[in-house]
Amino acid sequence: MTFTLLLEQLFNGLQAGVTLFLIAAGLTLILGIMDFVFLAHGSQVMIGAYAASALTLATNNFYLGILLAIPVTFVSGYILELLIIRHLYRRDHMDQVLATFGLILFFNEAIRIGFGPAALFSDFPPSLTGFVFILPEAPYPVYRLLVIAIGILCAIAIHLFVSRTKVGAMVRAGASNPKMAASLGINIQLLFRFIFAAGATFAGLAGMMIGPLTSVEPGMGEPLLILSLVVIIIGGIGSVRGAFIAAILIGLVDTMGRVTLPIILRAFFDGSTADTAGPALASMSVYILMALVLVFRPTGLFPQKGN
Amino acid sequence: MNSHIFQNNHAMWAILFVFSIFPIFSSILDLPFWNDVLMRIMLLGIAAMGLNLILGFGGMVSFGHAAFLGIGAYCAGISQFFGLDNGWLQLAITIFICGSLGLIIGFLALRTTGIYFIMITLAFAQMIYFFFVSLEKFGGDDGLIIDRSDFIIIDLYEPLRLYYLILATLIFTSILLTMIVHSRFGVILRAIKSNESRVEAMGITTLRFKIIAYVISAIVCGIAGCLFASWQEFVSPDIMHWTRSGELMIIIILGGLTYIAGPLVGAVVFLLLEEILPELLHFFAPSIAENWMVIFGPMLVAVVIFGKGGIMGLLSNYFDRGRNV
Amino acid sequence: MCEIVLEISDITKKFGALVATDSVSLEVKKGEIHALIGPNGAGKTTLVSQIFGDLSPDSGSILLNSRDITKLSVAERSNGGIGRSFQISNVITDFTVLENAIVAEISKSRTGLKFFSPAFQDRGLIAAANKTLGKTNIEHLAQRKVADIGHGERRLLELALALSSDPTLVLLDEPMAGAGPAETKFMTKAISKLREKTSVLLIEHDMDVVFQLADRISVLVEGKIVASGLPDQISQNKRVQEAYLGSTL
Repeated sequence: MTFTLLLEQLFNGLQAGVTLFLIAAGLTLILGIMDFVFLAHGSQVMIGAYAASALTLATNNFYLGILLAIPVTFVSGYILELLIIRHLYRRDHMDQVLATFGLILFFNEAIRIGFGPAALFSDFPPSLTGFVFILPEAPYPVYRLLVIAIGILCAIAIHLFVSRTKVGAMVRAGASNPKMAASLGINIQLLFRFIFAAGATFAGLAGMMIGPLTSVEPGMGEPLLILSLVVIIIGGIGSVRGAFIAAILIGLVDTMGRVTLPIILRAFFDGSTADTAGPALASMSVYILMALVLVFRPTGLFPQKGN
Repeated sequence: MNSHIFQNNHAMWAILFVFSIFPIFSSILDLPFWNDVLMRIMLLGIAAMGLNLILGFGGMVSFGHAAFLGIGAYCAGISQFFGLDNGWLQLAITIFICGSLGLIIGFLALRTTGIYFIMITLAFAQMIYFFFVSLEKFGGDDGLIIDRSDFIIIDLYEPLRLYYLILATLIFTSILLTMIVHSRFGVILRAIKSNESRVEAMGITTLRFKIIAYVISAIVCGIAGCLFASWQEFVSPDIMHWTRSGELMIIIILGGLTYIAGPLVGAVVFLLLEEILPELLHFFAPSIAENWMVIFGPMLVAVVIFGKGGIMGLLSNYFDRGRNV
Repeated sequence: MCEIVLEISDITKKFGALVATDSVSLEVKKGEIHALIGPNGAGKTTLVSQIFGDLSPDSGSILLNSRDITKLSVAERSNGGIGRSFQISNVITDFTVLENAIVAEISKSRTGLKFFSPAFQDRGLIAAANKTLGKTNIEHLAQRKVADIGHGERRLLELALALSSDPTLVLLDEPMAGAGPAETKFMTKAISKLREKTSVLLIEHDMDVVFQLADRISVLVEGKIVASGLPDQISQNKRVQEAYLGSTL
């Protein structure tokens, strides 16, 4: 394995990591502040990707498509909270799992009815197809670099928002002690709805950006949902900082594992065995990592709540 | 025989009775397809009852029990791959492997609580899922086509033998779980669900009880999976996809999780809906008949928001039978 | 001649920079009611948690009947002879009063690993559970759901559960919290009768109750025992008056 390949995979891992962070950032607050197990967050990723693809097709302009899709994802999160989610905060986790599982089924089928079961055409404009030489010998796609940059910008924006603004202070208070926050006279209902809508927007943005890299299809959000749950648990529920570190970690482990494990396995097994086992073992490694973290730190790397 | 197995358990016995005489009707009406549906209901019913021991009676929300269903199925599949056709031996292997894995996973996962427990059980299930995907020798993603197991005195290729084998297992499981829930062990388990610190303060090492319950439920799910392999004549990682764990939870909540018969009622309703909803949609809106989940999803949300206690809860309110279980 | 049931030597517990328990030593003698008092935030609950096993001390040792229990778990200490009633009333709310007592009985007889015979129909268990309820005279509530009984009745149930295993030491963490005057009077009577059966470590805010019940009193201020002695000595101790009791005595 050459150094350039390794470098390229490092960047791919970074790109996967920031994407996961965008999805996990809102979800970790939803889990932490509202103590709400929200499984339909993956659907927000899918809604974002579909909105961007459809609007790009309609306007014939990639940038305009994304720009118009962002408010769509915000509104979808807002409405979902208003109609369904707010009735479920006081329920136990199992009820929440069940109801949001029902939402996943609904969203996937609704998209299938609206756009057909096949993957939707989605591509980035010619202006973004080039390569940048990150090292003299190592070209890297501009689009992926852009995804990394936007991801990092969003992470900084979220960090500044949570640590510097008044609403951010409320969010922090809510994450470390939800009951206390409620008693401080903070308009919890509005705060929740805002977090929900903002979380949906960032998840949607992640979907818009990875759409052209993977495929825009019904159910595309669920594998990402599961991975971002892993991220949240490793980082510590309610911790945005933990989510960022864990997201990069998981992005790297998953991506590097997928590339290196088949190569390592080929030294011991025949080619096809290695090619089947490698990616699967890479997927396993993510969960092994999570289980190890939980066994030694049952509340994640950056626990938020007291005790 | 203990009287409590019959008292307040009418729904369970009614369903088991219908199951046992159903093949008569299906043969008169010439609907062999429905025997198949009923076998599926019974298999998922067994698994859901097993899961409900920890979920409904122990308060442990495991989001990864499909893994044990899958391991049971692979115990049958892989045994057969190596020429071991004997179903009884396969069951024994299943019990041993699911029991030991349940012990290990339970021991590790039960160090956490709340959302962390939900997620760590999901993580272990995903681990096991991808482990079987990686086993190319046994078909990887594509799975393994197998024959029905050889249960020596019961030839599963004779008509209805498999049906009654599954039914017998279901009845055995139902009685066993009813006894456990009412036993001293079950009382402690339910007390732990209600108030763990009080039980601990009374001098009971609650972790031990939780792990034992976890192991029992893993074994029951494994047995369901082992028979599932024979029913499907096929094993693939798909049987333990994380959505299947969700399905088992749907079945339990739909039926009513504080009732022994809840998961069974839930399995009947859930799987009948799965058959009937597409048919109904064919009638009303043929263009989306394949997309029945667009109706089913919101139904789940409505069940959670409006219906507490599931179907059994509604029934027992209606008949005002008062007490649970 | 006066046997020591609980002997705490030099236990210290820190949370970061905060020293919640500062080398505390304490003795509870057989058959006495020993009250532990102190202003809010003095570290009473932290101390009790260490005696009961929810927290483990950073240093020091705890002996119960001369046996070192410092390293034992909550359940092991309970089996070793500590009964407990919690600050916030803590019973199994999904169960009836009798069923609560049955759980205690299963624990006491260590028969929790019986998987087949029904527990709530077991005559032996029911009889034993009724006897437990008799310890605080609440047999008449046996069939009521815990969710439906009054606050004071819950406290009595809790006391009965704490006594079910015939413990050598009972920890009562603010048993009067939230009780009305009549309930307080009744509870006081119930607790004073405990002397015959067991030793009591009582944490209580209500000074009337403390001086009515206690044989000896220890005063905890900012994690330290500042005084320990007979009620008369305590009420006349200058340091105690300054630090805690103020002019009320």
